[in-house]
Amino acid sequence: MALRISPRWLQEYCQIEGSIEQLADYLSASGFETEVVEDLAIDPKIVIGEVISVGKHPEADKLNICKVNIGTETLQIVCGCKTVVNAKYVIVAPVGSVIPGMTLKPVKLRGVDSQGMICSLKEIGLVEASDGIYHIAEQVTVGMSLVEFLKHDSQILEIDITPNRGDCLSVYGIARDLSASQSEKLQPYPEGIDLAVLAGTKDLFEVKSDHVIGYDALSAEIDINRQVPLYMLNRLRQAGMGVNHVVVDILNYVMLEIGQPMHGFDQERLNLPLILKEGSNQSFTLLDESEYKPAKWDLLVCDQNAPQALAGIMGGLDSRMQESTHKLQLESAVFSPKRIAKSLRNCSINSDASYRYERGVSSDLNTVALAYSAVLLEKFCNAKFTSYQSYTKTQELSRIPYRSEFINKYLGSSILDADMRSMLQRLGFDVKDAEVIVPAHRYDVSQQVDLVEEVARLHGYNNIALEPMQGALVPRLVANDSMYVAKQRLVSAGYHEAVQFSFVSDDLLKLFEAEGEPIALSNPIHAEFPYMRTHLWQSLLLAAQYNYKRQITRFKLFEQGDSFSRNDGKVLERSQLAAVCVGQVNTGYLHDDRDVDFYDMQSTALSVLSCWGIKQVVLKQCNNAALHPKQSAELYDNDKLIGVVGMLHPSTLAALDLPTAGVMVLNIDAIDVRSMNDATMPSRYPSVARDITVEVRSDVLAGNLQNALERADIPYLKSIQLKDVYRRSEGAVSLTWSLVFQSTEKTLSDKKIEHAMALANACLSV
Amino acid sequence: MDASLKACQLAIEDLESQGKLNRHEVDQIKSFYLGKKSDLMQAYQTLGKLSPEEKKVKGASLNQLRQSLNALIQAGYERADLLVVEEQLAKGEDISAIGRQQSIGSLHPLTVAYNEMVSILQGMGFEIAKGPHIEDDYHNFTALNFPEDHPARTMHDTFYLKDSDLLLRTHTSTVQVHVLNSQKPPLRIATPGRVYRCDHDPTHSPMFNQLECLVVEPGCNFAQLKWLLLKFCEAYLGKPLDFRFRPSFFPFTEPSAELDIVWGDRWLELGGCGMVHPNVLKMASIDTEEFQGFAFGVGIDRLAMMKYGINDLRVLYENHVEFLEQF
Repeated sequence: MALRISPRWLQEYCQIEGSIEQLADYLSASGFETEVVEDLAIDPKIVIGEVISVGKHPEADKLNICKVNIGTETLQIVCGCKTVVNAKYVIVAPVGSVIPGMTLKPVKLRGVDSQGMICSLKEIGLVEASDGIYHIAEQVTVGMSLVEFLKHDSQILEIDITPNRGDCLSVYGIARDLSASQSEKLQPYPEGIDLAVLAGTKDLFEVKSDHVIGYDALSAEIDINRQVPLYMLNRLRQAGMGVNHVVVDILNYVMLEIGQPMHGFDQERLNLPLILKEGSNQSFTLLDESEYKPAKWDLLVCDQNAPQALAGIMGGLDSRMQESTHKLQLESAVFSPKRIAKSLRNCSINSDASYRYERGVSSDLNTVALAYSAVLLEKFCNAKFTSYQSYTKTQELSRIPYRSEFINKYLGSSILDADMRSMLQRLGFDVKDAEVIVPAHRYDVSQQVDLVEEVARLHGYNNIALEPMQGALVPRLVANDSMYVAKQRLVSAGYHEAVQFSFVSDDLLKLFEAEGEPIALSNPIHAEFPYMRTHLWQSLLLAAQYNYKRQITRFKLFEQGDSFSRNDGKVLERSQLAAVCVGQVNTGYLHDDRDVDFYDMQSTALSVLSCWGIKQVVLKQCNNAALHPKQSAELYDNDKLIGVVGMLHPSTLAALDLPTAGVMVLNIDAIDVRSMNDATMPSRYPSVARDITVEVRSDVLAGNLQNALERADIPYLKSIQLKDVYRRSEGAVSLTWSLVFQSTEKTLSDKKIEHAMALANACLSV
Repeated sequence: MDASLKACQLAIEDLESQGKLNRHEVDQIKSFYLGKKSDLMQAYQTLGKLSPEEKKVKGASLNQLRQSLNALIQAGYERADLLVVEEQLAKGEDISAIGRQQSIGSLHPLTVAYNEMVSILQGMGFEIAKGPHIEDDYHNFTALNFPEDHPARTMHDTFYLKDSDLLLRTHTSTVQVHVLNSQKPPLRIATPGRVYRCDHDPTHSPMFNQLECLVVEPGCNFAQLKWLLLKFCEAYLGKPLDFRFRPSFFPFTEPSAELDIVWGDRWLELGGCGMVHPNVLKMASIDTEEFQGFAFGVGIDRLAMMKYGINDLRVLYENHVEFLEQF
């Protein structure tokens, strides 16, 4: 969460010289990433005025002619707001001043001169909506500029507070840390009323849970027809807090200023005393009008009848502050952060209070805050306090061993012991000889390493010198990165590598089916892509589609990554390498401009597989519904399915709106990497080449025959290459192979070759 | 006799003028003038009938003719060979026309960045470790000192699997947990890989790539961590950097820091780092008296974007061919 506060407010507690940018830098350097942001610009010419007289406009019933004293002079202002007759102190934008959207000029309204404007808060930009001019109820100095009156800064600090620093979620908290890091004086907490004189009652509440660390309650009677002062309203606005009930506004203001969340109950709706306990069978309605069924670990503030608040998180609707409330019971409490966090994870309700409670509110703060809010309520709501009750669970402050050598060793620094002690003292630690006592607000400090960070932070991270690392030399084994070579091979073949999201749609899952059950996300980023891909084609073809839609009509893409599925409840992550070739294989002068075909994909796959040392694969008919049934094949290595190649089925192409496209996928995990054999010496004797042709039925697979030849143990056969497939008629094809024979020991005689050829013929004629 | 010499020469010249002079035609001529049935050979046959005197004179004259014919024919062959070469040389190409172009593909910029970063770290003696993308809560959070229910967990916008306690890892620190639990220190490892966060805008991608480095060894310290992270970034970006380290917060490190560098005209956040929290080491049964650890993490995507001057993260995952072919 980012805290948005004005520098002036911060400086009320820690007087630090410097520009707002310098303040931001100080804060950033001590661990609070801070940006300077523009807030409302209020023209200094806008001033507080006193309405001296109001008269009717002779020409217009709805207009009034007012004389307004703005200190230096008295202006005549024509005002259309009917409440101006009761107005005393108002905001005046004289001629020449600027308000959002306009510069004021002298005008005549129905013949009467008007030298400015009496403003509503909306016209100044302080609220979103307002009805009529603003009546200032506070004490004012006539002629004072509004900027001064509000103590307004047009640039404010946006401070990012990390989750460990719950103690800094307030102006005071930030000031406290800043005073420590900059060695400046910190002002004390704002003063409060003397609560002790009101203490004595036990009628307000009763604590029945160990997770309540402190609980103070104060009853009051208030004048409900009041409003928060304008500076308070402005600071709440800057912090991004809405304005609602005057009591709620004051409590929010105190939370923002010193960090203590508080709650106000309409006391007349309560059946006292309240009981603080864990869990309840009774459901109740929260302030956001949602029905809440408490879990057994939830901390609840109940009255004698029903739960009235989910402690530290949100109050109940029934006992909330209302316009008619005139008796209230204030709550200022400290709850166990872990317990609040547990409830929050389960109920998913977020509030400014719960945000602070789960990060830890200092156990010594609640009474101070209550007394301070009483001062404000007294001042701005004319509050009268009737009774006060306080509960505190005794808690030991934690102690941590302190050793300056440990800290220096950890940091690689040489900070003096005395300097470290001073830093920790400034941060509120009670530094003893060999230990420190942690102040109550530092929930995040519990171990020696936490002290290391505090010292490093205050010393300045940038004041710790760089220290080169050293180490023994460890020779790295030479390892062939087959995947790297394979990718380079695809690149040489014209393929561009794509990196796609792993998220896919239901349609894509159905289009490219894969083994195992798909894995769905409970919170997908886009509703139409709720699944993890089960096959790389699902994401790669999306990239193909993306490019084709952008008038790129021929291209080659590949992707390497994981596919995900569940098999028998077990999650499987499989590494795949996939490729797609869309449209023509090559274009341009001297290319034949033909579309990609099955053999392009097959040769790509075989070439890529050789990167893993695989020289031979068995190709089998494949029945993948996404592929052309007669132009697709499964690739087997030692009876293991290592990949699939083929042309996409016309209906797949139609579904994706793509032209002719061939695809390949290799299952990397299934590939057995071949280690390189010892090198063989080339033969010194001549080789002999012979062609062999066989006529077969057209459904006989050439690959099967070639495999048979390879396995037939034909003597001196060195290589086999398919040369030609000639379709003689509808049912018959001639297949021609070129065979090469060679011996490593002698020149082969015709007789030996004839014998070998006879064996080859016999093998093919089966 | 001069007549046959002349005729032979003429025959060769005729062939050339008709554009038919080649080795085969010269063979024919050779056979006509010097073959078994040629006049010359017939003439040799008649030598036997002559007197020794006449034989000597006639024989010498025949020999001379044979030599002359041979020379003519040899020249014919050479001429024929020359014509072949000349014919070949006459065939020219427009060497400026681009023909039969081989289109070369490209590695994805993220792969290029990944390879470069890995090679920097391998050169410094770091082992590369990898782990699963789908993880349990323990490896992603608990073992990294994110207590259950702790608000620090909300720092990560985590993708959860439907009907399961599993999640998509939000950082590659999960791999560190696997390594810490399976290997004995001292350790110097790097864990590059994909991570997932439930966030999508010009600066956030729901999937991106991280590289983390972990060192666990006796006496390693924060000053060395600063050095390592800075030197790594300088090596990758290829120049000395103006830098600053800022305190930050990560549950698994204490102290924690963030590195900013000057890039263009402003400070840019480059990576997080810190001394490994003793709680993390203890959970992996590592003696924290003997061993300290530090770790840093950088975004591969972010560094690559800086290097290539890319300002919208989304282009990396659109895979537009015209973007890809630049790399």
